[in-house]
Amino acid sequence: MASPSSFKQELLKKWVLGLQSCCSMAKDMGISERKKAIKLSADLAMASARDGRTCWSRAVIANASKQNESKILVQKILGSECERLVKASSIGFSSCNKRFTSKRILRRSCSSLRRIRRSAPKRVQASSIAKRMVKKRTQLLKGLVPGGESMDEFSLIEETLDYIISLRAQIDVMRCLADASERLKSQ
Amino acid sequence: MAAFSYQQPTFLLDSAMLPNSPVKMPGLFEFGLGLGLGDINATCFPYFPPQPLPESSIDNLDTSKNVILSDNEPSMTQKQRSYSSSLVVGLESGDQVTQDETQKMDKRKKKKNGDGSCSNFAESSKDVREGKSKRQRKCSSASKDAEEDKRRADKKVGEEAPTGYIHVRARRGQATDSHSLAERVRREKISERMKMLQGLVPGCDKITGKAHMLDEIINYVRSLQSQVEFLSMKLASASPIFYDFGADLDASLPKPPVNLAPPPTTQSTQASCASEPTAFMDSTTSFSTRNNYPILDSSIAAGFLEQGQRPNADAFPQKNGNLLWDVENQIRSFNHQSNFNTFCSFQ
Repeated sequence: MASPSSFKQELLKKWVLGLQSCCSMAKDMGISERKKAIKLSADLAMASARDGRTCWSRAVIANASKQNESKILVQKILGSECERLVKASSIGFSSCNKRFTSKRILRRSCSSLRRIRRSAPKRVQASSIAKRMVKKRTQLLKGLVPGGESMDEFSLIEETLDYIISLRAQIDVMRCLADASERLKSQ
Repeated sequence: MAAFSYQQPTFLLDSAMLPNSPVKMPGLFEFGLGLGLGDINATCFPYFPPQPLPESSIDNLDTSKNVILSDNEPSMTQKQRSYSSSLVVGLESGDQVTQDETQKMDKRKKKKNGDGSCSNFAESSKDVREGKSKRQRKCSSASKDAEEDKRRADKKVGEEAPTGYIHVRARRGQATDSHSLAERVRREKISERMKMLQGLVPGCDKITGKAHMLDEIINYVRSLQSQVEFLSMKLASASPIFYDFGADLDASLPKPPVNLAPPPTTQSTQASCASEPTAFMDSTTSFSTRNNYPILDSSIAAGFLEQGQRPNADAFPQKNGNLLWDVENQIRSFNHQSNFNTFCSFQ
């Protein structure tokens, strides 16, 4: 049972690990590269602190482990559980994708049949407008939440919940570190 | 109406409705996610609520889909007793209030008895709504319905335990085929989660439509992500400390003067973010030498986190928030050459 502060502590620990490894690799990085490295390690720390229990965290890990540059970082941050988590992420990802694509094919075939049967409605109903709006926004949200493409609406909302909370924790930790470094520098 | 409908499920949901309440959602949706995933752990991610909630109740949520709070039973039985007494009085008078009492009685009975089935929550919430729709009927039939409900509830309690189906009662004047019932259950699950999100995203108390809620959620997630970007940029340019943990820093690392683009401002950028650009500009001045810093360990981590928690007005509970302004002042007068560990000993 993790309390919020212990989650943040774990996040910070893993992030520091990641920072150590990525910055020992190349000290002459440009600022944008450094920023990317910091962000990546923070994201990976956040995802690994969730221990692979949520879909978005697995998606983050899977994406990172696919890219060659970040593989070492992934290994460092995830530590001992690296292999297990990476495997779980990739498996979950592929199964989600398969499910999603098969659903998509079904939906498309059904909708094309429906279109043939029905004639074009002359008046557009308010409910259909509302549905379209909701659908558009759901698509947007799926684009925002990592790994959101292959989720149905209910799990998408749950993932968003968890993701928002973890983002907040991550921001807290990063802000702490930034403030502390500033204060120390100002002395 | 809202108060009535949310009384029953869990204390977690109740406090989720409160503004600025600590977030307990992750504990709840652990079980939902576990459905397709195969490895539901008992560990979850609950935050400590302001009201005393037994921790094991969250475990119950995790392990089963039930909303049974077995640890709350002593309080429940007390309530039951009080409700039973009021129920007797109410039945005699034929008052409409008995509807509410009966419903609560039924729910608590089911809560006590139904153990392994996953239907209680859905069922009880249906009963809540059924109770509401019944209020619309005439007063005279109120007492009769109350008794019928009780009888039905008693029967159902016996049926529930072996089956584990989700029992849903069709409301008056609604379709009763399985598809629409399932659709309704799904919709209600979704609306539940949306209400949780409403408590989480700031400024969403008055928004009722799904599309608007999703708009706000999208904006909030975008703003959070941009904050992360900004903070990582700040850290990247602000200090070499984070690059040389455990190693000596060079006397003066040549840093090119950094022209920073202003942080990406979104509609819902928090106020604290606005103050950061000014702080950030200060940090681009040249820095002095630093001696070697020991590698951060967990105690230091705790110190950092608690130090920074104070200014945050977020919904996380800040148990130790008050104690560390003192620490912060001490940090200001802290000599940067001395060890971090002494800093941590203030905790």
